[in-house]
Amino acid sequence: MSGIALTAAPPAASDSPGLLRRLAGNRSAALGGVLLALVLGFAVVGPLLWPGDPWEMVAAPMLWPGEDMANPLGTDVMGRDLATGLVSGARVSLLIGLVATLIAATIGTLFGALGGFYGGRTDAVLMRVTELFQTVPTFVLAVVLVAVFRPSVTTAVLAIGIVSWPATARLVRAQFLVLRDREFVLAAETLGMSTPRLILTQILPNALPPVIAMSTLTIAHAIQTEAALSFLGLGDPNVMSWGTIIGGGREQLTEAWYVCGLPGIAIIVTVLAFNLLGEGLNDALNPHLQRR
Amino acid sequence: MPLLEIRGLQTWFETRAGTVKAVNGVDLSIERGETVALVGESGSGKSVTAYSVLRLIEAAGGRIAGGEVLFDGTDMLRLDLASLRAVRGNRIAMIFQEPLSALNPVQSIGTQIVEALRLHRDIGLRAARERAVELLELVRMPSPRERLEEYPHRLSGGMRQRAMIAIALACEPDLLIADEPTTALDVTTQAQILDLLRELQGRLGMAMLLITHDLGVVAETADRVAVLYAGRVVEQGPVETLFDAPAHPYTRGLLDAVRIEELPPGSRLPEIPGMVPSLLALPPGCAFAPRCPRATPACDAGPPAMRAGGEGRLHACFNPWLSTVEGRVPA
Repeated sequence: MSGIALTAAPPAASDSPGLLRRLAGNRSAALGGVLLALVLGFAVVGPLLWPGDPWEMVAAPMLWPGEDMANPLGTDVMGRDLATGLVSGARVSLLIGLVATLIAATIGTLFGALGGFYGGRTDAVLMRVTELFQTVPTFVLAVVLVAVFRPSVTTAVLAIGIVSWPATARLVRAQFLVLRDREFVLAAETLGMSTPRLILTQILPNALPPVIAMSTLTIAHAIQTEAALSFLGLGDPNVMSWGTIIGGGREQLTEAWYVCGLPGIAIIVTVLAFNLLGEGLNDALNPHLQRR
Repeated sequence: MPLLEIRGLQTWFETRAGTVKAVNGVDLSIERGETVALVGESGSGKSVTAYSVLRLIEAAGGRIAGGEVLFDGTDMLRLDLASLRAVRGNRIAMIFQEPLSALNPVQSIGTQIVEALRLHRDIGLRAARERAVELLELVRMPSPRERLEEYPHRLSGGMRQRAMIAIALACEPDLLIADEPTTALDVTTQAQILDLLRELQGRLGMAMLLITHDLGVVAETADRVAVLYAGRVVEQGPVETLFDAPAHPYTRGLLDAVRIEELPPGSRLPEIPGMVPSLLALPPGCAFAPRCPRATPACDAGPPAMRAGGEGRLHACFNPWLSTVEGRVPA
């Protein structure tokens, strides 16, 4: 900030730039955005560069990356092309991460909003249920859920969604507890607004920014969980995900580390992208930090 | 029949320390088109009275323990929630002290006016937006059409208050409750907003309950004034006669405290000795007796009843100043 900022600043962000510009100005958000763009580009353009079935055995097994330009990232122990596998994994990871987070955000917002708004007994019951989910280790619960039903993309999405909502519920509840007592909510009530409308049009839009920021972190966590499930063989047997590749390559780790290493790097980059973006969003959406 | 008639209203808050009797038997009536000012110090029960009219008191943790609030003949305290919502914002609207916190920060001014309109009127989105422009014109918002898209934090204090008035007037209410509408504004803007409120009131024929602690605002704006002390109306009447010759020693003390320009230079500023009694343990008699220069033993026996003093004046005092003949002693 320059010295001119010493004159009395306007009370609110009246001249602050838009959200996108603020995000671009935030170093971690910008890096996260670039990394995410790379992963997204890989998932979108990849199928055009390396078409085909990731399960198909196309070349000699355990070709190192760069050994044969027909398989630029090499092949695994079954002779399956790793580039095709990584592209498939990117699509699966992003899809599962997004849909599972959508489920988690919906359940979490519903629980948190009702508990925070109504308080009292409703809140007590909803928060005890939330705590029940929080006390069970999330990954173990996800494993159980997927194992009980048949492993598929749908069950993975549902299981990850179901284990990920409690944090969102807590956050939304805290937001609602504060916002419920704000004067503009009272003012809306003096206008004759009904309770559902009050929640949907007055409180929820004000409660959402931190939820959006946190959901980015939830996506990152969902992607890790999916990879871990697939690594354990609890992924969809018809879908090649990053976890599947790592799981398949783990016995040849000493001879061909790249089989595990490449999807591992992909997971790290993707999770890092979402984490950085989430952190940046959190700062950008927080009005108290906008002047820093 | 008065538009609003409050009878024996009691609003209590249960706290760990006991029952806080914030409003303890308020009687007040407002005719159509009339402006009644409710004055008193902080904690005298002005705002609680106003919130009780719209039954917004449960949200604040209180309860209405007794009394009647007759609005146009129906007791607001007995209405079911749906009928109550049909009155709120439609026939009785409210404006607040601090418009920045009373406006939704993430909705544009236009959206908030449209929302207020569509809550009670069967009106299309396009027509509602046109009406919103008219309302912003009505409250003298500069370039109203452009302001529709503006968010509250981008407006000045005066413009925000105009926007809030536009929202309150959306459904042309019969009664506007204004809870210290100018306290948060600078003096110039304050005068503009008061002018606007007076003008709109005349144009729309709406009654106004003005809550304030500023006796200057009362003198400029109100037809009648009711003075609240420790949850009760101690005196009420037409502004001119009441300000000229207050009957209740408390009213007199309040007025003396603001007439400092009449004092000889260097003299002590007048004040009302003592403190407002705790609302947890009100004295058995007149709540003002412990601070009152005219108190007699009778004042501690029981609360004084409201008595007529002529010319529409009412006071609750055993030893009132009854006429101007007794004269005002400036300090």
